[in-house]
Amino acid sequence: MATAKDFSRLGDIEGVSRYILVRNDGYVVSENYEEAVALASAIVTSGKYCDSLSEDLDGRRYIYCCVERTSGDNVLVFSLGRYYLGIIKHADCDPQQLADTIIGFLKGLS
Amino acid sequence: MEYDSKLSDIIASLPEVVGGFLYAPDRGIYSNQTDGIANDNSLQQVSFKLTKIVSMISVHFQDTGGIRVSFRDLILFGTQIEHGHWLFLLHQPSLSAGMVKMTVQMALNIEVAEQPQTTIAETVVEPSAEVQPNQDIMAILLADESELREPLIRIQEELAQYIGPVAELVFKDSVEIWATNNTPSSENLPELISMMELEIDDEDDRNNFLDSLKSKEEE
Repeated sequence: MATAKDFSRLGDIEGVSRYILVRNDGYVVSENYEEAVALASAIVTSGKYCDSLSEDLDGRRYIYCCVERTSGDNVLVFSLGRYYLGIIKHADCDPQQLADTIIGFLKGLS
Repeated sequence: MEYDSKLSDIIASLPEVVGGFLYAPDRGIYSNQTDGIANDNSLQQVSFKLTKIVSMISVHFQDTGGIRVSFRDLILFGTQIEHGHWLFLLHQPSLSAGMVKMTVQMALNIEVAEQPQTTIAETVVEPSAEVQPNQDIMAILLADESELREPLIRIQEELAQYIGPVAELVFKDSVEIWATNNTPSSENLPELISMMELEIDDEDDRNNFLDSLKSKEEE
């Protein structure tokens, strides 16, 4: 069973600028971002919307969602059951590669 | 600009693009070129959800542009093209994000990456003469003397029972869109309630939400 401390290693992954792990009720479990509490509800709601896309798209489950920014510091959202993980990536990092790294990290925790 | 044909051009030019559609909050889906992957109602829901996500994130980061949702066998890419209109493409994961962006940019002849970025709420609708700018709408509608204050607070409280701590954010966002698309009035509250209803995933909860508002209205 992964603990909040395990997730703190997300901050060490190359390409991760900030991360925020939020429970589905908005409680911030782990983060390295000073605005985490303010961002929490947007991450949870985004994750819930993405979860519900499977109802609209023939049962397809989303893997992750990426909100693009002109700065390149894109925001990635992953669903982890009752939790949602938000990642703000470094501008110079490829989002697909980073997503693969994050997925590998999460699989390593389970 | 005729986006319909531009969308067709994009789909035709990239074999990995399996379809696309156009969406505007005030028109809904107005071009579905997904070749049966999804019907208009489903795409309407998808568009609503994805544009809401961008809108919510843009509250924190002003430079949001598009959105990309990755599925196992498909990527859904959306970008705001003009005046609240969105272009969505469904493509295979083998197609790079850079290629998609460049193709869209060329087809629409726009500088996608350098467009001034704005929030959805700012660009969805031109405010009518009677409606104040968005930042003032909530304050006006919830003012002590407003006839809408009581029903709006009741709706927000009910919504919070079903979607929890995000209710305030969702409520504010929805009211702003509602107030710019409609004349804010008691008669138009059903439109707002319909928008709120979409925020509740569970069908039973959704029905309870509606029943509860109805019963309080009758009291």
